[in-house]
Amino acid sequence: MTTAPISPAEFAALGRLDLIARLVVEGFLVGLHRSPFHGFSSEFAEYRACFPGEPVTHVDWRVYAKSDRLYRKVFSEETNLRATLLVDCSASMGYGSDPARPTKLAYARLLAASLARLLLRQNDAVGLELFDSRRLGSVPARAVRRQLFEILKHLDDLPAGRATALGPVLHEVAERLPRRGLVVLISDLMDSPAEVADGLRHFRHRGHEVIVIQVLDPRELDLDFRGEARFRDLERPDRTLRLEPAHARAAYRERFEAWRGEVRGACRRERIDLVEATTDTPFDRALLAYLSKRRRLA
Amino acid sequence: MPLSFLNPGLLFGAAAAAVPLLLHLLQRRRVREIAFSDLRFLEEVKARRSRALGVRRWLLLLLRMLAILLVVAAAAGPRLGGRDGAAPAPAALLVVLDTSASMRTEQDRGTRFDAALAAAADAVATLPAGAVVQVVLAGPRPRAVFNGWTGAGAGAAAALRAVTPTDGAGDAAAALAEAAAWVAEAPQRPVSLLLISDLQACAWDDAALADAARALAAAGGARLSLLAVGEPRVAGGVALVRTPLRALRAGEAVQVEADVRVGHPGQVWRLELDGRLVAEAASAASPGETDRLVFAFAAPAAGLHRGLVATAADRFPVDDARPFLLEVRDRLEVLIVHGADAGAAGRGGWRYWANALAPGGAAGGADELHHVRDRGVADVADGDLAAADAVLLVDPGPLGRRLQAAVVERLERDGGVALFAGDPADAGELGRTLLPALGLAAPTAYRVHGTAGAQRAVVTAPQHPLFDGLPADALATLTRAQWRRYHALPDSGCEVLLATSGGDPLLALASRARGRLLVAPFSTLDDATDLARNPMFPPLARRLAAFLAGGGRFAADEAGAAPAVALPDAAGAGAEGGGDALAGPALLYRARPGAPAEVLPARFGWRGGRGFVAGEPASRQGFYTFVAGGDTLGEAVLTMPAAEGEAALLTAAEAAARLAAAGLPGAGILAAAPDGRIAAAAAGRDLAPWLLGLAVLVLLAETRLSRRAA
Repeated sequence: MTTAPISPAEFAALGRLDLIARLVVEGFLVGLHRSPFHGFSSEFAEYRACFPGEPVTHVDWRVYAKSDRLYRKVFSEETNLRATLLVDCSASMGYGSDPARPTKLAYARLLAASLARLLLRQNDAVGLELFDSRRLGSVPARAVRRQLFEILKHLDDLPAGRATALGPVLHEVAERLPRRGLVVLISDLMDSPAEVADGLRHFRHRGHEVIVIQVLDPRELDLDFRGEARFRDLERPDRTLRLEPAHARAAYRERFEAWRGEVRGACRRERIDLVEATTDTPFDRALLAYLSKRRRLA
Repeated sequence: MPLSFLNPGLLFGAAAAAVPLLLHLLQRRRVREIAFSDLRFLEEVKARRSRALGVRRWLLLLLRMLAILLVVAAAAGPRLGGRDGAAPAPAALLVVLDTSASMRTEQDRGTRFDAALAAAADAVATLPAGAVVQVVLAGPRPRAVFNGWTGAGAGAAAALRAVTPTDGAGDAAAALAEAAAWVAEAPQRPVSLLLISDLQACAWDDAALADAARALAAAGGARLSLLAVGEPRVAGGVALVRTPLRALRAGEAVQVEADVRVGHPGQVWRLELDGRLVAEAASAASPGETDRLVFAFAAPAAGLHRGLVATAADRFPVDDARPFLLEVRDRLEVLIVHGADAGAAGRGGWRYWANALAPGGAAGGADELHHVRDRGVADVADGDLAAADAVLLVDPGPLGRRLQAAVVERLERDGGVALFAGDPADAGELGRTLLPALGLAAPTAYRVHGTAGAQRAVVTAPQHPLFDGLPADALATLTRAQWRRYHALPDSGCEVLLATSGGDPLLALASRARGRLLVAPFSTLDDATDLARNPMFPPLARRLAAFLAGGGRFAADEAGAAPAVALPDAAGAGAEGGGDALAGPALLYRARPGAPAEVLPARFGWRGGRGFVAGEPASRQGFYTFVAGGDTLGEAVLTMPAAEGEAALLTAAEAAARLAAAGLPGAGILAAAPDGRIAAAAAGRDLAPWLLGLAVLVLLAETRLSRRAA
């Protein structure tokens, strides 16, 4: 019997960020039993009894030959990866078309918490940078157990966002990161693709591996609104636009897809992994992207 | 070509064109606000499409407003080439004016006819100089008001105002056929034909309309316009009065039935005879429904009585009193025609009938109801049949051409004949001559049953006047009679009153116009049936004679027909002649008691050895009395057609559709309007269908454009 993954909306309804992060990560790892990701550590830590149903990959056959008992090896890894989570807190991230779904920012917050937990579970050092048009707060990367609570605390106190200016703030963050590592950018990328590409290139230039998780709302993709409406820009509330969405839908989709294509192209050129997610996409997809990248790094 | 409107007041409805604009503005004001993440893409799209979208939006708005304006303009009755034009219009105007009884219905402002007359007079009076006019009155007999096409003006309008409605039925097809004859004679063209009517549904016969349409087309055609002046009204009245179908004797119980239309709950109807209230009845039916009332009373003294079923007058007074005539007889003249007595078997059964009708002998006693005369087939003289109230042909054998023609004529007029023919030798002759002449089939077989297989009778129509009122034991007694020999009659559409238990008719009634023929395919001799020995035979014989003698002679004709009566036999028995050969200036008929004295010429003549008088066609209902030399010769009654009281009216659109289906498309629909606009409108070309069609096209374009915009 298979069960559908828990949706972001259902997770968001739980409220507690630490609980959500744990549930997301545990559920995700349980789902990986049959996947090629088994862990990345190489240093032996201890023997542990092997129970029926567990994979036989790490069974120590020598011990079995001597004792006629099944034991498996448990490894612990030295920390060799510094990951930094960059969470966009601009006003545009506060958009949510449906009250039943999380806003883009809420989605980014849950995703960042889950990634942090997963990273720490792998004994990687993880840090956090919050920004809109400037840096709003940061947590330096560490691999200690308390680090998760520091990160969750910052994510809980997310400040009110302003307009997006990804280019400058990415440059600023890139300059501040002391060692090469993994950078995970969670944003809607609502800025000029050239500016974004320029910022991301800076990370690459400094030797970072980059994963970009672009979070969008489904309505941003299809402009599925009925009847004439006055649209108000979340980043610049003084700007409004009166429009019949039905009349503009086709052209809007075409333009929006072109923009996404530019973003994809920029990421491809910089060999950056781009994960396109909407606020109804299960978190697994983003976590898988991280694991895949981590495996390559390992 | 100037444009005019029949109902310019409706043009104020053009303000409705502002509705889409107001909706548009309101929609702009009520537009909802949506917070969106980033407007940059929407701004780019809008910048690209804003001009096209703006133009399209205003175009849509304009199309919607244009559609409303077109519909409003169509409703206002647009006419191209109306009265204000440089060209005189119309050159010839033919007004068909409905004068049927229903036009006398009172509406909010006078009667329907008042409104129609005002419109017609207005149309005639305002025709331009040089135009000609004719008016056809569409009553029961369409006729023209003027002897020929006449110049329009005050004189014509004054002549028109003297027209009064009739009590008769309307007939749109007949009126249009008459109009077609006048269109053919129009001295100038184009001819505008204006039909002014309440458009009562019963006056519109589609088949006849098609003929009229062809006649109108053959006459050169005319521009047809309709002006409806009727508003539906529910009014109470009497639709039909049924008097007994048998001859009545003084003092016997009589039931008169009346079909009434109920105008208000608990409406009361009264029956009067000779101005005296005889009975009353109330209906429990709801307003608008029809009900059948029964008035029961004792027959008055012998003579012809004027009856009236009436109720309180209402908006449609014509049908509130319906006249009828009731005849009470002191003696019935019965003629028995039979075959030769001696020799051939089966002859002589006629005596049973003679004795049953007049036990006191052929001459009858002083108080005998029936005076029976018997004649051999060869001895029947001219006038014998005409002088008899009832004729019984009992085993007559071959009738001969002359007698057969007299029988057929009697049946076609209003008389009653009973034929008892059970002799197998006569069947072939009757099957070849009399029965086919009456539209009946010849006997197919001769059934002979032994004593054990004798057939008993079954009364198949116990409600018929022959059996009506007989107690059950009397009917049971009658059915004990046995039949051993009779002809088998095929089904000829007759009403079977008495049949054998095997289903063969023993007494069949064939109605022919007002005449009634009773056919009994058996002999009354002992070897054929023991009916003559049945205790119910004498009463049956008397009922049969009363049925043959009663009813038809004084049935009412409808207004518009020529009243006529047959004279009592004493007035002209034995006289010869035919047709209208005799006409006397002293012969007059005075129409309608209670109305102003009106003396009209009448014709006197002979038909089938019997005198008759007839007047000119009369358009009002009532009693018509024929007087000659100070003596009253007879009385007739005319009534309003029952359908004229119905409230069902066509709308002008329905009437136009019926005309179009009949072959007269494009009839314009006018609305009553003052100051001579009708004549002008009748002359102009109706633009309403074009405007409506254009409105449809505009709406289609709007739909297509809005879909493309979406």
